[in-house]
Amino acid sequence: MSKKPIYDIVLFAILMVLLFLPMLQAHVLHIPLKPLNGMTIETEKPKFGMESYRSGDYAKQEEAYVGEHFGFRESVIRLYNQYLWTCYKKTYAQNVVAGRQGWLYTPESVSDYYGTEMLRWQPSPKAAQRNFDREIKYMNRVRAILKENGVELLAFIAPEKSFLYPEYLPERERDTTTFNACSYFMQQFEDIGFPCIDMNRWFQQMKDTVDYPLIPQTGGHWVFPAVYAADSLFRFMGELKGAELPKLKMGELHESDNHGADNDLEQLLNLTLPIRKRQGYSPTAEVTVETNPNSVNPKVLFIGNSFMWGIANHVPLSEVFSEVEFWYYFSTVYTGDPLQPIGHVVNYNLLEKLLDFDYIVWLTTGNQLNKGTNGFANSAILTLGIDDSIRQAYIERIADTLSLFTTDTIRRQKAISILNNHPELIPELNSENLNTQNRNIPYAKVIKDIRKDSLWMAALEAQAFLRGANMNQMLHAEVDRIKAVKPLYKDQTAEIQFARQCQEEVRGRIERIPSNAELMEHIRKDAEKRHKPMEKAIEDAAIWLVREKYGLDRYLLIDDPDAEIPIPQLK
Amino acid sequence: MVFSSNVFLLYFMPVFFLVYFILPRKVRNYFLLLASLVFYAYGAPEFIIHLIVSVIANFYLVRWMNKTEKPGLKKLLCGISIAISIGLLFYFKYGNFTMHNINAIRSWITGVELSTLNSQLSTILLPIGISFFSFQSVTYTLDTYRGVNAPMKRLSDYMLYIVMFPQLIAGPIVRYCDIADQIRNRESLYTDRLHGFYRFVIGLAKKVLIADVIGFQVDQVLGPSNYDVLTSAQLADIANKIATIDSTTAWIAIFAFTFQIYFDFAGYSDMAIGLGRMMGFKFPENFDNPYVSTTISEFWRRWHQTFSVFIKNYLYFPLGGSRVKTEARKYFNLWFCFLVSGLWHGAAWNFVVYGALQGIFICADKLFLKKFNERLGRIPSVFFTFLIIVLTRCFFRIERIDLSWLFIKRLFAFDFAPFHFSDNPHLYVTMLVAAFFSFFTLSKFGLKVQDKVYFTEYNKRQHIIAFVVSICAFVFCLGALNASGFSPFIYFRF
Repeated sequence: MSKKPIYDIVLFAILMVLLFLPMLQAHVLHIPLKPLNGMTIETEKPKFGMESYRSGDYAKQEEAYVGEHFGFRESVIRLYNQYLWTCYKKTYAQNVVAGRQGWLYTPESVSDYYGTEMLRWQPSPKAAQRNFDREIKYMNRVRAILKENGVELLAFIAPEKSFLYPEYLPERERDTTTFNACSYFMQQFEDIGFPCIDMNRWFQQMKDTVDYPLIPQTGGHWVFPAVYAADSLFRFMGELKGAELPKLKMGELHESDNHGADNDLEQLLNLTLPIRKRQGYSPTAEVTVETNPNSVNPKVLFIGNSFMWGIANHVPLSEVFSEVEFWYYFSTVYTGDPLQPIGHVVNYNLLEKLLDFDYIVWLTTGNQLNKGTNGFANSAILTLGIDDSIRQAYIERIADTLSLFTTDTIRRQKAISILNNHPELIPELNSENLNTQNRNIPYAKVIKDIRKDSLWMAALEAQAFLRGANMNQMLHAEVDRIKAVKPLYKDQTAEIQFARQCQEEVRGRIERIPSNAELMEHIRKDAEKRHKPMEKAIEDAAIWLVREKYGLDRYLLIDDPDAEIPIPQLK
Repeated sequence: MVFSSNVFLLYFMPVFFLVYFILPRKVRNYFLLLASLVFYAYGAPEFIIHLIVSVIANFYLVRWMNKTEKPGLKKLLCGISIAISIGLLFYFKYGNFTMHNINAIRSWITGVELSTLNSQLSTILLPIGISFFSFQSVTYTLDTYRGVNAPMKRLSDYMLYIVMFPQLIAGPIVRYCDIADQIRNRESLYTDRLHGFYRFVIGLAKKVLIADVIGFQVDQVLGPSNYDVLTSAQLADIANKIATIDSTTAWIAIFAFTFQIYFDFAGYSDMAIGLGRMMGFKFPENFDNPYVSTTISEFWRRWHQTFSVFIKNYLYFPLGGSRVKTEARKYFNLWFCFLVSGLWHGAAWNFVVYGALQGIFICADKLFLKKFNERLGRIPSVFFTFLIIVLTRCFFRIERIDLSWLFIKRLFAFDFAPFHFSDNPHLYVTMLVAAFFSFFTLSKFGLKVQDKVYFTEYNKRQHIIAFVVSICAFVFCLGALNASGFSPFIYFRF
């Protein structure tokens, strides 16, 4: 007979319960825990299938999935991270480097300080210099073209933590160079007179005059001090155009009770215990905007990195500017709210967009200068600096050389991509001759003017309804008419009046449709099928009914832009 | 599936043990068998059929062999059974290697590009654990043939012996005669279940907290452990790295690997032994502090013991062992056994060289090295032996002989770069911990502690302490596994 000491049984029972706890937490308990911070690409729950099972992919994906979803994962990982941090100052977070005395840096910032960041992107300092020279040349030419068309392009360099607080950088005796992208860009900009504000230098001078950190100990970005920089930027912008922009007014500095942005790097460490702050946090203050009758509210485009959020979070930008857009890394488009992207740069008509603003502010930091302008200089010079016909000819020529790719479409796409990365393949862009610039620029300016003219816009909106087009198509059709010296859409008053009456009829039908049960049922089914909200489905149905009634689909803009729409006798 | 995976630790293990202990004793073996097949089939579904078919064929062949009175037929059936096990092992593990070498000769004779010839070969994937279950199958056949044990009556029992999940993937190689009785008749006391869990966690910690941490850094210097999967550009990159490595980094890397492989493999063995013990099995120990050996012969008695015993019983003795007519033959037998054991570790020439070198050192031991070591004294001889092990590990880790040789040259190039502890404190502290535990049993105190932790029954207080420590270590390992990513065991390839 086996011996069963009671404490062995109890311990074993506890062991079994503990082994089951993660499973229970994941599937039953769901006790709320502090979530892990940082971006990760989550593994999709694998679907069991014979093919994926036989290839071993299912097992691999399931392992990854379980690893990301097991119970108490957050606490377990935080515990281990705490051990690594406390004992070795080590972290698995990809964007954090431990400095001395609990200071944190981004790896790019550290290697930029030591001059090696560019080697991650460029084969050698010489190659880096060549690429920087090209980008600077393109930026300068883009600036000249934009300036001719009333748009000011300027550079705004945000401070880098490694340069502000080098005393806490991790020790590094090897792999250092003396080449620094930021200094190089600044020198070149100064030489060619490119408007630029170097906040890196200014913040270094300011550092000893304040008793709080300009970039917090465990953060990677500026927080409230971004307001000082924004104030200087707005003044500088005003000087460039000889205009007066609204002024920022700061209230009294006080301690902030929200330290989310102060600790953005620390949050990535996912530790159990907070890091002790030796210098405290940046203070905060109320920021208001002061206007006077002479001040103007320009339209501003910021192209840059996450340092923009420091400004957007503390400055009421909508009170300073009439319109503001932020093209994050020249990619995702925001209007100021970091959580609400509104589009993507690739989907924009770059020519019209660039000319639509009064100012374009290129915001960057030294460590990111190593990558150049995130493609902005290349795209802008290809859009503004060379006529579309020349660019198309080069695309075709490059595509012809890409015999490795099978279809014309792929060859074309590849050629466009090559040209976007290497505008220098177009020799005209390398010469000093500015006469190659895009001949569509004046028309883009016309579109800008039309947009500003509310009557014209209203007329085109009415025409867009009649001709089944969107506003963008309508604007371009109007410009085509200007080019061809044809009567403008906005001047077809009878059509416009008819359109407005049609729109009125649409509104009436929208009100009446809900009382028609049969039609509503049909619309409901259609809405479900197309995943449309009911309101939109009703509106679409009303538009369709009106268009059908007057046979408007025979006069689509896309089919015949010159079609004359017969005006029926309206009651 | 592997033990240090989330699926095993968080789902398979808890569910398996809960069901296993709830079930009546009579059906536990069936459940263990089913769970073992699931365990194997989970990650390697392609090979489960090979495994089952070979197990069934062996079972009936051995039963027939045992029944027959005709010595000739007995021998023939024994041969067929062994041929199936070894044949499968040879096909899967050495098929590609053999064809590559034949192609190398063909290329040399015909002048056709070697890459052209090799491109015509289809890749044979290696079933995980094949070296281990093939050997277990051989021990069953030979032990039955030699009359050490009667064959099993039930196919399910035999299948369980071969595929039992704790030791299926990487051993220990359990001889049939050592476990035959336990399969049908074993007792799982609560204290064994707890001790088993403690042992499992010790193994998990060795693997996750030591071997994986060190291994990650070794890979940074020497590339991934399996060069077969690399492209020629990646291999060129590794070659370039090795050619330019400074001596400090090279020595750290090879010392690190020496600790990594020990803690990885010993960790796995601990986990297997622990899981077995939870079910009432007493698997043989696989490691006995190998790095405190004073000679290479002693090292091989302490390192991967179940494999050494297998080679001794099923290769060395059949070759004649030491009872041969000439001294030369005796040394050849020894050397040959190590050559074979080298090749067992991997189908590549570097493993052949590794085995041959071990064989040479074993022979040298018998001839003069052992006496030399005795004269050195215990501690110096331990470190001298350890140094030999470290150096020969170059051929084990770097899967190309030219690169291994280049690496050894870098070790002795004496272009030492300054050492900075702050460069990687986690690695260096882990290496120090690994070194401490590797040499801990050099002292009597260390031996005492080891004996207490591993082999002595605990009283109530000790159980509670061990329990709490084990749970904490388990949680910690789970954190390490998921904070740093998933890492497979080194010994799966063998």
